Amino acid sequence: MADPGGAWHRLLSLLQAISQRGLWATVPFALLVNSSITVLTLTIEPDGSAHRQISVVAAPYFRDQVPGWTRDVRADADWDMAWAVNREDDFVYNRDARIAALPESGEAAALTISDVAQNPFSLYTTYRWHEVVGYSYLYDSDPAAAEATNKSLIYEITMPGTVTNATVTPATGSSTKTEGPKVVFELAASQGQQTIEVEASRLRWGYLLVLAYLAAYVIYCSACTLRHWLRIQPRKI
Amino acid sequence: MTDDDLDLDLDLGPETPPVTPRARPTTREAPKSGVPSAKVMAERKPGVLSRVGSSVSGQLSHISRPNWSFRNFLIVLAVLVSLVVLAENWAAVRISFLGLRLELPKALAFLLNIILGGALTWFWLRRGVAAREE
Repeated sequence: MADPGGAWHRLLSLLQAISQRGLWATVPFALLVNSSITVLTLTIEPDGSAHRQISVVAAPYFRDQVPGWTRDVRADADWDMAWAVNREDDFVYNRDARIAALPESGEAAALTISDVAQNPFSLYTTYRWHEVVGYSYLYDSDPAAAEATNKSLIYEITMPGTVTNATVTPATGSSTKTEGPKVVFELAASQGQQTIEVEASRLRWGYLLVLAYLAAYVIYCSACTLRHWLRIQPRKI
Repeated sequence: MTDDDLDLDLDLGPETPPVTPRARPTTREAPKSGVPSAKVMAERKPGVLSRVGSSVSGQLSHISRPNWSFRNFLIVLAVLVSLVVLAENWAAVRISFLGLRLELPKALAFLLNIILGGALTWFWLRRGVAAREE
């Protein structure tokens, strides 16, 4: 028989999470507790669009519950595709979504792009991603349980350029690993809310290519004009 | 040495066929009018690579050095800017239709739109011309 108290608590927790406007990504604590690995990924494209995916590895016993918990993960996107892999020892469940445009401003999440229009005299385009990640707990004792069991959410962010700075606040129990355009946060589920800041820069090769072409043409025209001017100069006999 | 000895040496000498100048083998016969052909083929048949190379070099020899005029400058600039726009918008977009999903780069979707629009317009105009001719 289903536990009506648990469902009520879950509903309350979801309503609380929805009302928390300061959060951008909210992960149900039930999903973290009952899965062996939970990986949330965000791939930010140069044009400001993004691909969001969640992958959960859980015991086959939770095969029926994992899709529901995954559906409750809020990340400012309606989950689109879902695919699962049934293995002998575990059950892998994935969902993904395409976000047409990440929010440019806001407390919960903001992607700031400093491109040619914003800063025309730089060689690099800079991207700054700010996001608040939280968990929807079922009980007040959940943070303590998360600390005792050392539960964490793996959050992978792929930026459009090389990552120059990546921080998580508060950093207690969490870790950050940076490799090229990718940064992997291991966020402690006991912390409640955590703010992520990632900065990346990318060479403006297209802009530089056009500039180089324009400069080459100007030099070519100047050389032709100079040669013509020298040719028409009167010479001493 | 007497004259007889000289005759003996001539008789015992090795009999070698008279050396006559031989023409190189040609694949094409000389014209019957008796005028020798100016073209002489190589002894070995040229390979595939050398034939391709010669045809390509023949084609390339027709290309003259482009003049970097203002018009050409604008054409190359337009091509360059178009390529940069396509490369900068290579992020994937998802197109859903009746439960089917297709994911392709935004730039490619943009190009497909242009090609489809052009093809539809061409068919529409062609249909109008055909109707008028009838």
